[in-house]
Amino acid sequence: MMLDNQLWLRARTYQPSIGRLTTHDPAPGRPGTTTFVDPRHYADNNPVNRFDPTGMFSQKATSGSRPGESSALGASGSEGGCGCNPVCHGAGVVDGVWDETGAIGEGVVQVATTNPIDTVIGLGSAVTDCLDEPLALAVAPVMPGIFLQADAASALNQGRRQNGWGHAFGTLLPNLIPFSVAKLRSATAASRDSKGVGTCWFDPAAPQANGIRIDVGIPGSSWPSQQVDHVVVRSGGRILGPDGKPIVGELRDNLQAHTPLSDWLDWNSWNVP
Amino acid sequence: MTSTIEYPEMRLEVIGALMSLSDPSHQRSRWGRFEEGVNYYDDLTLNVHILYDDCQVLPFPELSVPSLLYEAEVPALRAVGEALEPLLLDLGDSPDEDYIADPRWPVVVSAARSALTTMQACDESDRS
Repeated sequence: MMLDNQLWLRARTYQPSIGRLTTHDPAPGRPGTTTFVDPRHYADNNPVNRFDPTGMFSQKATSGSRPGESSALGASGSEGGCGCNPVCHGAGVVDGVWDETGAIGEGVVQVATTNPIDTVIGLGSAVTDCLDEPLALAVAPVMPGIFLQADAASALNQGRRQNGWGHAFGTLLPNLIPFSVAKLRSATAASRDSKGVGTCWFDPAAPQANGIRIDVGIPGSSWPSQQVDHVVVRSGGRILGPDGKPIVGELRDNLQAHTPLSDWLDWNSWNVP
Repeated sequence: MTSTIEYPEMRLEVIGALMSLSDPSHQRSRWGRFEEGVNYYDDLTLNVHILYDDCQVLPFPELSVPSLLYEAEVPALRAVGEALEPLLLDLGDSPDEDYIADPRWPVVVSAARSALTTMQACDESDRS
């Protein structure tokens, strides 16, 4: 689709006359990719082997995976197109385009592709990466607008990634319906450590204002609120406490703003208890 | 300078993180210490979360203009990321003490101090 002589690529626009993307990738690049260095790159600056149907994340090009090619993947997301175990896929249809960016570790993430309310995110054991990339990702068409990315503190800790930190978030995202963007992106990476393992979600239209950070608990932590899985909620540019009201002062002065995940899952919506 | 900052509370979080990263004495005395009955905690992880995950001023500070940052602050914030990210990649989940002891850590401290000074100057200019 052309808009003002620019090609609309969903999350980004391309100006054919100058051969350049005119907007940055709204999703921060992952360490180890060229997009991490320059957000103007397309498909991690590797358009021969990768493509980017949503404008936010590149995918490995496999037979039938590019838009317009007949896909070997069913709309149910039951079969993986990159040759890995189907369980390894959190893939599904995103805006009508098959998205197999869901390269996730077997047992790490399971995503229901049909009913967003049933979406399950689990953090499991081995991080097996079917894109041959250091960061395990899961993408699902959960709800228009739910957008998860790797927790930066975790993503930056690739050098210490370990296996075997088995853990499960369980049913996680029934409350994130208010936003409508493109897809869910979940990541698990790094080790269970002091830098944390977790997932961040943000509103691409106002990333600094609205979002959540979900961190895996560290039972041995001296910080009680870190001993259990916990959520930091930002809404309207304010960090919310467990009562849903903005905290007074900084996060470091409000330990209670690390809301236990089990409590947050009972909230009426992602930012309202 | 006319304030265009949309989310001043998140900006304060950034300033708090830079304060923490720029003060080696504070890092040695407070990072990782939990005190019963004290509603305060600080460590490197928290500051990384604030800068990268919660406020998202790193790794691309220019994307936070004008919601959290002024244009003039971008280079200083970028320098913080350039100093910090190699350590995060190399040291990963190592204890904070390992970061502090790393010969590259003073560069992080210096960059954070410079960014903090820049942000405080912009705030001062905004008030005057």
